[in-house]
Amino acid sequence: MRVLVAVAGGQSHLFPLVPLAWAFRVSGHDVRLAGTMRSAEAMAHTGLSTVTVGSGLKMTRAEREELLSTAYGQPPWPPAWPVHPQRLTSGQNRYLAGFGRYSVAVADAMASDLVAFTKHWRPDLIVHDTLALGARIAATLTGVPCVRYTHGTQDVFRVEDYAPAEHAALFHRFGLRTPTTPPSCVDTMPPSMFIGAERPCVDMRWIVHNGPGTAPPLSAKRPRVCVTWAAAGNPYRRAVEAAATAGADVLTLTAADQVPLHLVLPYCDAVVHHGGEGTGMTAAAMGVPQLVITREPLDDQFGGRLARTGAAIHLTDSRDTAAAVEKLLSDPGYQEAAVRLREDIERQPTPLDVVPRLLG
Amino acid sequence: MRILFTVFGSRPHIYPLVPLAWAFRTAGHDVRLAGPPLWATEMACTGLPFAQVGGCPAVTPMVRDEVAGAMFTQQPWPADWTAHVGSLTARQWAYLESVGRYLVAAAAAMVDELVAFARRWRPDLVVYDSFSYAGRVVAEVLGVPAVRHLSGPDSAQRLELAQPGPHPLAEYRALFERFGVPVMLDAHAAVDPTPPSMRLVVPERLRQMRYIPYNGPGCTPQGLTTRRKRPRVCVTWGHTNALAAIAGTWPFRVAIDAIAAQGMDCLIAAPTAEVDKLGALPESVRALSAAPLHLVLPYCDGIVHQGGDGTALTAAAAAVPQLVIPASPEADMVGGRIVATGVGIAVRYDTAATVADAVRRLLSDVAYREEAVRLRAEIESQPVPAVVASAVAADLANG
Repeated sequence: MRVLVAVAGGQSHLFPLVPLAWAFRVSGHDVRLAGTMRSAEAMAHTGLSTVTVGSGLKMTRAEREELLSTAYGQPPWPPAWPVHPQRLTSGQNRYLAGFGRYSVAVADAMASDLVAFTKHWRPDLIVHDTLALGARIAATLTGVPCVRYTHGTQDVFRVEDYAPAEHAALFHRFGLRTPTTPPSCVDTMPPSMFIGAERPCVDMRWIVHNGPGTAPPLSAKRPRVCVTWAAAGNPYRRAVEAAATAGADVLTLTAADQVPLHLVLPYCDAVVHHGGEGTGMTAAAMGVPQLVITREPLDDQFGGRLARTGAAIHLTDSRDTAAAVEKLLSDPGYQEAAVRLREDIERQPTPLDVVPRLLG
Repeated sequence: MRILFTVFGSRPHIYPLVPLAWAFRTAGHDVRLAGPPLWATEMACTGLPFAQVGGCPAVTPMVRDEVAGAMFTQQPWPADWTAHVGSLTARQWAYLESVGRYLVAAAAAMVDELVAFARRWRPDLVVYDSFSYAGRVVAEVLGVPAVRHLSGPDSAQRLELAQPGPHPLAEYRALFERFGVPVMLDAHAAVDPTPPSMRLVVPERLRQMRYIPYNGPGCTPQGLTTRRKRPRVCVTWGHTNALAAIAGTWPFRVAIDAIAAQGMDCLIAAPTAEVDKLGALPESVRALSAAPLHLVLPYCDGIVHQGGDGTALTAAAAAVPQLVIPASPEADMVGGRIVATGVGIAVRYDTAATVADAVRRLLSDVAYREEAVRLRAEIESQPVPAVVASAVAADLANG
């Protein structure tokens, strides 16, 4: 059969989809990975056959900076906010609406090409990330089943709820009404991270994939703490200092290093990060205790989920960093909980198990 | 489990391992691909984490050219020679031993660093390309099972032997002796993606796998997928021939002209630098620089190639009739399998007329197409890599 895997987001959306795409391929199916021109190089480093759909959303530098500063300039949100959306303030709702509009614009920039390729290639199934809404349009137009892959976000971020008018307009552009049923989803969040806001979905085990690469030469002598922050900016100087004070080696890792996180974590006793799903799930799947310092609403709820498992400390204020690092390294309870979380993840069906379920 | 995939290098030996490596990964196992730094880009393009081990100090371009020179100056060998090595001449055995020593030298250049890496990473299983002997050594040094991974009919050869066998080359023995472990010629299993009707030599402890083409990442070039008005034939000469400047590419130039002269469209799948050497090309010829073959062949009616394992299997998986123009003993054998399965023709180059006639027959006789469809169905009926990975893992779990 033919399976189209569509990704609108960058590496953080692409990486988690790769193991599932490989699983379709090694089960004998033909796979095409569709993404924008901007993702071409990252897509090539999956080894999969690719197709380019659109050149990606054009944003000025000022627009991009404004988006990031709005996202990372929020005062802390309550970690369980997805459970009680009615309790959000009007400012918080405005923030979600803005993010929703941005997401629709991202989807819009690749939708026409995605629809055209779907009509031409006639896949038997489409799997897409949360931002590639054009996939659902293409699926509806061609009658092909479609599943949304929410890579550990448990479908919390629902564009259709946050920007309903723009979402409807996108569907309308292709002569379609807004879907009335929620999309089918595949998700990799283990049950111990549930907070009660989850929708039913196909469970899948998180298989760590952070791109290809080689491990730097490391050995395990003193405790070592990895500090990483992705696009969140760097409020993590305190973490670096705190780890050094606690007698640990510190390893800082940025996107520019091009070193896959999962090749470094086996040599680390703890990781400090911004609360991205890719980083948090990688550490969880490898049984590494985490200090999660979040500054963005989606990260806030994800950090809260990790803390519930006992494998992580979640902070929204970096002033408490030194005490948290010290506690993470000295209290064996975090390591024990991290092992339980890893086992929880390993109990989930593998991507290979999920393939026949999705192709039914 | 942790599973170490080892390759001595070169695309024809890296590519075939990739589907099984992906299968282990997506089943939840930890996987590393280990090979020389020269091949880091190709390893990175698989998406898998990898380790760079050793250089190629013992394998200078001179040694490589010497082996290639011998490879491409052989008179035709019998098409089924790999099944009857004992009947070959002393000179032919000497040629096989020179190739074997080249592969052992490649293993020697990487084995120390591979062992050092493996001692740190502690794999539970080693899967090694059938010509990448360092993988067999490292499994023995660590005391873990080894799986030999074949890449097609050519890879069934036992080039580590003093010909005609059954004893190993002294250099091969030395690979093991430097670590004080017994010399191993067999493996716990041999995964082979060759479909049964194409296979000439059945490896011991065979585990049959479906061939899933992997020829690097990439996309289908523009303009191929629309309905074609004229037959389209792909011409390629593979990676080994491209390296072997000594052999030249002119039989393929003749094939290109023959295709154009017969009113068919021609697609050249080769690096731009190679295509530039061909000179001015007819108008109906289009050169593709870097498209994976499996994304091109579904839009072709035939292929002319050099007789490499990967090319032959990719064409077979796409049910495309094949014309092999062999220039080496290995290609004579692969061409023989193409003839034996009925999916195409093999001719050693002599005159332009021979090639032109073969191109005409390939496209006009529907039997080749029918057999190609049959062979594709045979390939598709074999266990997929996902199934093979779980069977191998189960074998290990049961001791």
